[in-house]
Amino acid sequence: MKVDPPAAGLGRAEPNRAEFEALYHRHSREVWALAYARWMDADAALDIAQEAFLRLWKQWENGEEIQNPRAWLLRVARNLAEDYVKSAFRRYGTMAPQQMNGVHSKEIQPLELLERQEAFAQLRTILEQLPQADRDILTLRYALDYDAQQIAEMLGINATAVHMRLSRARQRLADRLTAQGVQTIP
Amino acid sequence: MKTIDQSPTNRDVDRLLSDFFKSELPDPFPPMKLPVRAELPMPVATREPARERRANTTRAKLSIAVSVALLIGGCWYLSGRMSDAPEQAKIGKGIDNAKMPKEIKKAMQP
Repeated sequence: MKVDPPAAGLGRAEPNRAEFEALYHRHSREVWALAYARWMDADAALDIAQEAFLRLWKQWENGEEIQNPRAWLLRVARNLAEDYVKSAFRRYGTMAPQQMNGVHSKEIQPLELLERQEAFAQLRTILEQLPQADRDILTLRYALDYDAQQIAEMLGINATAVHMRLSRARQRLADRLTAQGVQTIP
Repeated sequence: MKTIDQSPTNRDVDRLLSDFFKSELPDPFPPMKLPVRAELPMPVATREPARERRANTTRAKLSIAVSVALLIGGCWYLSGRMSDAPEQAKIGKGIDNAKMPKEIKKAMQP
């Protein structure tokens, strides 16, 4: 999809906000998913997604023409996610709470919820050990409910490869969860 | 979506993954806050009334005419002075020569 930004800048018209918002509405979740799959950090992924969109807006403000905004956004989000560890973690020396153990709150919670969070924390650990490509596929499949064809199209790979990777990743997860003693999933 | 294996374990894993990723995805997804561009005040082209425009034009023309007249007058005055100056200088020199005593003239010569 080609989007011609109305030229902006000094003395020029501002880019089309409505068009930008429509683009954000359409693609923000998948940009988030791609960033999330890199670090398994929801907040960082949100920051990265918004930064990618902000950069797109600035490009439009400068009158730059972007042939395929979706592909552009995904590429920028990937690059930002790669740089994230250098720019944020090293600078501030901190990690998002979700990355520590998956427990979001110290408040006493119902047993079922605690078990669920424990399972999530174990799942996170296992997911972090998976190859990046598998995490991309799993995130798109389970966070956004994308089917193999959509995932293949977005990642530029074969749908059969998506099926295969998905199946392997699920099997690996099941094996590891069993090995860690997670018999029942709350 | 083609499902590969429907064994209970895989179904559980499926559900766990779905729950996990859904809990991570911000819902509702926060809207994007775009920066508000600081607009520089642009000069507004306003049209003056016709009478005022005419008055301005007349004033400008008058200023140019006065400037040109002063320039020409100045040139003429200066050129008149310059042409008179050598004559006066010659006369003055002659008078001075006539009045200067011989002793002083000698003293002035190297």
